[in-house]
Amino acid sequence: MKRGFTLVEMLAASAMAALLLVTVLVVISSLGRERRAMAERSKVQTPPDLTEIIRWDLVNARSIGTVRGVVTLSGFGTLDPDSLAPTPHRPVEVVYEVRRAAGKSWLVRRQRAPDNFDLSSTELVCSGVAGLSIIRQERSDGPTQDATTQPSTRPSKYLALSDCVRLRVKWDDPNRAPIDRMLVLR
Amino acid sequence: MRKRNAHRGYVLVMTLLLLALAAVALSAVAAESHARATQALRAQEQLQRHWGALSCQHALLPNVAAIIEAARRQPDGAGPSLLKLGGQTFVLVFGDEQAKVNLNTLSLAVGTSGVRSALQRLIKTNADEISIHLSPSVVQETGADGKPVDRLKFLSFGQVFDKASPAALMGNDAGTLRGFATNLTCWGDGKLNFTKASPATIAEVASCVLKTDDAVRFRRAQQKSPQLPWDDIFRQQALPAELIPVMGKLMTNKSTCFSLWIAADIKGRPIYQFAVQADGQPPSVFEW
Repeated sequence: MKRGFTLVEMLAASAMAALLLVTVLVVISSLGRERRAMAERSKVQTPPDLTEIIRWDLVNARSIGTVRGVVTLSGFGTLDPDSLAPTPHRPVEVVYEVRRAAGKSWLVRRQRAPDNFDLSSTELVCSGVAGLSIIRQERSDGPTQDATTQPSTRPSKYLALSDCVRLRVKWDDPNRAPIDRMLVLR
Repeated sequence: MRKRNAHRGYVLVMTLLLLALAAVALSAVAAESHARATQALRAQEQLQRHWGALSCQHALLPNVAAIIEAARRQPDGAGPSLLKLGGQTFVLVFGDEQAKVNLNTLSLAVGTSGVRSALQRLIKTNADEISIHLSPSVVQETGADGKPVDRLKFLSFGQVFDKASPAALMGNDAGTLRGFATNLTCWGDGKLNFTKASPATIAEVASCVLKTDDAVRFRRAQQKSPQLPWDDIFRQQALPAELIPVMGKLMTNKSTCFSLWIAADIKGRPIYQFAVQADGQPPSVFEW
């Protein structure tokens, strides 16, 4: 005589099928949520990542210099201190330096507006950064000046930014691949 | 036989269990892949937008004078141009910065309060709406006697308007709304190109030197013969000859500074770039 499934087997199978269905639903809804969040994020005019925020600062900068491990960009890259959205361009000095806080090293962005103290602010841009270098690239002669957050670097006078720079970011974690990108600014 | 039948149901259970485990693992992989794909798509859009704007800037900024001249000859030449590049549409507005009132020259001639009044006249809109906030920088320049002098200078529109959005400065994409920057500039050598400027800007600059009636005459004469140099019209209208050297500091017949507005709205994220270049100098770029 042919035997069907037992009640226990049927209940177990139903439970498994329900679990499967719930998993699929959770995945589908999370994908939808992510898409909506991504769309919302993309509407905000904030530079989204480290490279993009530095690129934006460099595009709006007019000169660059280094003093005691502090990279200083002088130009018009003003960010709103509350929303970090670009504001109408005002003369501003943007300073990048690496600092240690809460057991981590941080890339800190400071903004100083000489004619408007309300625009002055300090932001923690990214954690785990060991060093930042911005190397001016001349079209014919190769690199000419290295602006870096390394404290041992000799101070450099302010120089006009070239059309193209090389951005290097080293991480605390030696296993993490460093950022090494050529940025064409203008 | 009986033993095999007893285990048969558990095969189904085990299969479903494995399927559930596989579904969980695969869904995690799918979520991760989706996140990476979205990130890659976003990076691609950013890169395309950046390179698109850069290409427009490199190809068009050195040729703005010729483009403006060609557009003048077209019946529908005024207004923004649209350019499709890499599947994305860029809105371009070409500007002759010397066909606009230079706020630094105006500031030197009539002071900051005079600049405010001129702005209200030129923009022709409610002062609250445009939120004029004049905060020029102190810049050291070489004076007429060769000695350094401190001057107040506007270096960007951010020092003129408090909260002007790039769209408000540039004008809207359809070209029906003129931007605040249409008649105003902070760049160039400070002189107004008499042959290319609008009557409103000529009146504004001429009134810094001439009496109101004379300024009106000067503007009307330019409207009648827009190609004539300013000094010819000045003499033709029998305006005070002693003012020619002063007027020469404010007027020119040649433009040497041009600008390009680039706007792209890609998937709801607009990008604006304003590049301005004077003869023989690198471009200054402002990005929003």
